[in-house]
Amino acid sequence: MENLIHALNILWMGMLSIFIGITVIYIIILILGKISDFKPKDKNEN
Amino acid sequence: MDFLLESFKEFTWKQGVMIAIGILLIVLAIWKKMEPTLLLPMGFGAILVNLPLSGAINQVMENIGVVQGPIEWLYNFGIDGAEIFPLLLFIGIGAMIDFSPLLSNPKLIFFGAAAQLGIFLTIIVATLIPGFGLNDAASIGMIGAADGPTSILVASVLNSKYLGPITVAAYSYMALVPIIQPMAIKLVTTKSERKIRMDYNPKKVSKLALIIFPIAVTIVAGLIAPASISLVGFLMFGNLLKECGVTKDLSETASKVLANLITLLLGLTIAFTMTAEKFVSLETLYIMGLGLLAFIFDTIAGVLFAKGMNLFSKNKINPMIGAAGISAFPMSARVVQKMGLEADPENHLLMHAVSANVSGQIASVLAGGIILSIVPGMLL
Repeated sequence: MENLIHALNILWMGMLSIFIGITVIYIIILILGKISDFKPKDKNEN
Repeated sequence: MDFLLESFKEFTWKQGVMIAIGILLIVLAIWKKMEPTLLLPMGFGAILVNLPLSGAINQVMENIGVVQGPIEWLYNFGIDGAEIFPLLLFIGIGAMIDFSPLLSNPKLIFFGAAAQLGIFLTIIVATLIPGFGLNDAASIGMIGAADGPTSILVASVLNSKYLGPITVAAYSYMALVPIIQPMAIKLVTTKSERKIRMDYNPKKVSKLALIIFPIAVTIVAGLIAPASISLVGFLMFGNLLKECGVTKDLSETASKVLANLITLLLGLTIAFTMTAEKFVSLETLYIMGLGLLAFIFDTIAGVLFAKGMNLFSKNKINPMIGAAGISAFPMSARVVQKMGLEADPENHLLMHAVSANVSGQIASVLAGGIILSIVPGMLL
């Protein structure tokens, strides 16, 4: 019974942590997307 | 000349069963092409360690004492010590992964997270079965990561005595994804849902983004789940070797030579945990059943998550994409593509499924690290 309670705790803590981690990675990807959109000024451009 | 008969006298029926299992794994690897790179060495290793008085594992010899067996030595060095074999394999896997489909279509990353639910639901079911401690239940749940090296690493760190059956289940079910997933997907989707088409308008991903991504993910994962840092870090290091463009030789060595060499050694080494006294038990059958359950839970969780997202989204997502959130790459993405074409011959879902599948590779490693962060504190 004690293990079952631990398992239920692992369930909510684990899924919450994974979603937090994935959300942060998602934000990183969005920021990296902005970097990808950024085009450095061409040195030959006048 | 008694010594010629000595091993025959020591032979037990359990060893006979294990040798038969070893031959079965070899047959599945060669003729059914089921994960041959791992199941073949494992099968042969199972035969080596289960022959009576096998010199492949430590034996006590008369008037000499303990004589080290090479497979036991490899196990102590490569898995029991610092889990170095699965970790080195992660460098090779990282050097093979292309994150650009995910970076160009990032919203699908959440399917990777949702499809890990099977791990945690299986842990709950495993704790209900007498005989499994919390460390064993957590290790068995990790079969649902659909990621062999992560399963091995977690079971090894948590000191589960079922490392052998867990490894066999993890790799067997990964090979059986094309059979398991369609059944589970059909259970929770209608044909009209499987017909949903999705536009594919990928954004261009710059080289700089591909270089920053593995470094940023390593730092984030390390801060959120410090125990995952070796898992994520080695994976992302391999990926950085590939993406940076200045270490082509290292990247090629990691993705080919290193990955093949470690897979070879890992397969033989895992066989040490497949000795008759450890493997032939009712618990092994439970683990095989729980592993199957974990894959089914993962698939259903991914599909239901996609259906949930559709309630709030204007652009509908084909719910099958959720099933591709497991780490079995690229089998899971191919299953979704095939099922999409079965429902509608012009419904091409492959690139979406690949994005979800890649996210599953990140999420499964993260899940392993999170389990390693949470579970040890709960063990008595």
